[in-house]
Amino acid sequence: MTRLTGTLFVILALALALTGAARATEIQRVVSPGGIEAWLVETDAAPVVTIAFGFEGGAVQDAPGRQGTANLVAELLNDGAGDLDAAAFQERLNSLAIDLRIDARRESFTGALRTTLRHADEAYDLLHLALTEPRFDGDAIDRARAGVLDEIRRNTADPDWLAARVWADVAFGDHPYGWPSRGTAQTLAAIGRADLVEYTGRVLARDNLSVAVAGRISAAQLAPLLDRIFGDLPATATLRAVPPVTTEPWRNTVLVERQGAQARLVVTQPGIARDDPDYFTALVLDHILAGSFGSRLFDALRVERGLTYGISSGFSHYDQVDYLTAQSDMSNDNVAEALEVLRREWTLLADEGPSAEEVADARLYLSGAFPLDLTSTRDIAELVRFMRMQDLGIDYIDRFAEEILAVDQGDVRRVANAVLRPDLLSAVIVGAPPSGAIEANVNLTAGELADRELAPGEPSL
Amino acid sequence: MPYPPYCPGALSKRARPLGFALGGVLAFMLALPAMAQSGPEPADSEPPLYQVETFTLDNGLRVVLVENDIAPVVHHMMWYAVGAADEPPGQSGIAHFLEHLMFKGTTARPDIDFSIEVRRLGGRDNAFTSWDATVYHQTVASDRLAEVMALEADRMRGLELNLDEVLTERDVILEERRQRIDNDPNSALSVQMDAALFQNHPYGTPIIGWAHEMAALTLDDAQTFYDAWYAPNNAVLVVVGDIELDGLRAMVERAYGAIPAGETIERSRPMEPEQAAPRRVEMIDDRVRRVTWRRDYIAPSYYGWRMEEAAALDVAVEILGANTSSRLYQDLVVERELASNAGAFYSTSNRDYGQIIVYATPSDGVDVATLEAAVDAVIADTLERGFAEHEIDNAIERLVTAATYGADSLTSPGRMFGRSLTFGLGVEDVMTWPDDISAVTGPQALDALARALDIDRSVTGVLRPPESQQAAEVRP
Repeated sequence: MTRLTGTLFVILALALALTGAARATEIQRVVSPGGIEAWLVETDAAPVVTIAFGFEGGAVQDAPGRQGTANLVAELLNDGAGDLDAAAFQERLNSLAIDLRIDARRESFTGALRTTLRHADEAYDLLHLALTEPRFDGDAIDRARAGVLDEIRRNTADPDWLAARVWADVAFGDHPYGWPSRGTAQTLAAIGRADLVEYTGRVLARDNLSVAVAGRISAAQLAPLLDRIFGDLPATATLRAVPPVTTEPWRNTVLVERQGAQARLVVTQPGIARDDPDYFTALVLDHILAGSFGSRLFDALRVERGLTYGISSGFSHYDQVDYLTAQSDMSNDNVAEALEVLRREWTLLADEGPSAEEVADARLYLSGAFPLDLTSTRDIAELVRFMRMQDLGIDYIDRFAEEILAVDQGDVRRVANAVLRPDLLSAVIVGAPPSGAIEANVNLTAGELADRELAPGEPSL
Repeated sequence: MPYPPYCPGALSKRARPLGFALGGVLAFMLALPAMAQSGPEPADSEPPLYQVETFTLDNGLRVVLVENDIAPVVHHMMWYAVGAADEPPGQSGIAHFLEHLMFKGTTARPDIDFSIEVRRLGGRDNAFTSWDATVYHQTVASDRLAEVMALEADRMRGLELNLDEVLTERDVILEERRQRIDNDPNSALSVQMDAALFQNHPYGTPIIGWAHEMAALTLDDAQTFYDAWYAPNNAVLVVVGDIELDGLRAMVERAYGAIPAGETIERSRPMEPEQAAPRRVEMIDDRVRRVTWRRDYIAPSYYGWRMEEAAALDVAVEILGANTSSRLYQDLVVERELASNAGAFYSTSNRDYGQIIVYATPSDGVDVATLEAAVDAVIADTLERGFAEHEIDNAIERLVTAATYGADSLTSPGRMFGRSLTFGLGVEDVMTWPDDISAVTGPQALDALARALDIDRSVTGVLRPPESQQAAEVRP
């Protein structure tokens, strides 16, 4: 029985005392006869296999005026391939409980196939077909387009989505990072079959591919499968370069007026790159800022003042820029006070840094919680795919706890001072705070935003 | 891919985004059955999917262990057999409110914040309240389980309610209600539909409560509820992950063994009368840009009303509307293009009654009356023509195969076994479910569906934007 163990145990005296013996995660590099590489984690708990794959590119590779192309491709790859039309293809997937999900994200195009061993053979064939012979039939395209339009409509009623859309405008303007990955009603209408074929041929290629696999499959079994599934993809991708980001979106307060009982508040400032030497220190800092109960913002806003049900923060990363964001929902009446309290806490942490206890607690949580994500083949395969695509190194899982536990209070104080920039914070509010409570320099209504996304007419992108 | 509408059947605490021998140990193996009918591949001797062991403490606490060594991690779930449907009239929301308060101080640990302690152990935790259960769960490294158990055991009988915390937390749950319901038109519609669907049974009352009653909940209300319901003999502990039986048994005995049993509790709720007429709820909201249509039917439950029909209904609804190959999707979306999305699913997470939810989003230019007539036509046609043998085979294959994925998770078996035992069934009922599904015949599925889709036992809900904001037709 192959277990998720290596022959090495990651043992640090401190780690052993605080988090217990961690097992090293054994990741094998598997290279097919045709030269396709996958990172494999063999597990035995369930008779399933998950193959996670990704291509660099994503929505930023859409053509201007045709935003939403990558997303439509993702919707349509399992809507008919080879000799199987949409109904037939879906029936094969559904009746054999084969779980094939494909997504277009901002800078990547990813997917995961999960199958039982029982139907694995057919599952691999279907994935191969989907990636290499998608049909893009007219009726399937129409259906997918209508479905995406429906999704955009649904999104325009969601304050989270509205906040993200307006921030994308402020932060990026016309830059591809600011394009809506679903497109707008107008751009969707402009996308034709030729655009889908062009995107697929240009982005889904072997030199652009990362594969990660977890489940009850051996390296010997996997190697030939890689050629079988991915071998017929074109050899090389042609990606358009993404221009540099030139906007400086700081010190803005944006109010999107939307009636309702609650407001959504999102604040953003510059972040830190994943390969920055202080990245792990920054993770500890972020956890202290708003990781959960016991964090600065959670305590100040929820526990002490009951202003909100929750607040969270985190780093986001694009190839070219990085952000630190905090977000919360609260009654409209509470927004002004919450924003004031938030700025004060942000400044305090920047100026004085955390206590030793806060650092110790954050280290314990972050190092201990990391393996908690590795409890299904999907979780493992997607994390390992992520590691490959972000160049985090094959030892990232084992290295993570070590890096976190090496962070000390002095490091966090220094990084808090350097990274936390309350003077630059931009705030986006979607809601209806009392008139005069918020001084915004950008004002619009949720209705105006929705109209723009849904109106057929002159493209704004 | 179709997605089902938001149906709040349980509330989690944090926002961030399935028969017992007392004092004995029984090991069960879940085996996938040979197919009852000729399927594409006959099941040979498949190894067992789950390794399940159970035991009961002298104080009545039932314990289930599902071993899974995919990672050195365990998922620890304490299921209390009490939920929103057990609340005293006038105190809606008290079960969920108490769930919040359970994270505060105890006699032994007056200053504790439960979640902070779990985080110090490198773990994650949360809780949720449904109509029939309140569940507290943690995920943590295996070698931290004993410490987590000590914390969970401490608050089973040791909670010390504090007035300041009660008042602050009451504000928090009111904020939560605003966020979940007032700020989300779909949830607001669901609340109205539930209230209309259930004429007598407490499933018609929202789990979070009615705002005016929530605002009036007191410390005494919470204390009384806690004293009545939180006891080891009214609880089921499910542990899933990388731990062995002997080690677990010692740990459980040490943590929970000394807690005295409480009174034996019988739950009884006012049940539904014969319902005599269909209901409609229509909401207009200027925050939405599309029309959505949904109909909920009261249906059998695996644990309650007409439980003998539940498996057949699972197969029938699978064919009617579970995915893109279903009758509803193929007819409304693919062939007639009346909807951009359509389907049906059978909700079985509640104890006394299940629900069948049928949903559709009309295409541009299609009015609700046309859409509804089309849905009714598919249902009528299905009931008249019945199911082809290959449809039944496919549905059974899909349901049974999909059950395999439960073993690729720590939380899925936790929920399945926790729910089953809390609702009065046993471990063996979970394990024979694939057999029950495999044994369903076409006539049985049809009969169950016909009995369940009784329009008089339903509510139809429509959510639409104001006239002025209806989507204009978009030409591709």
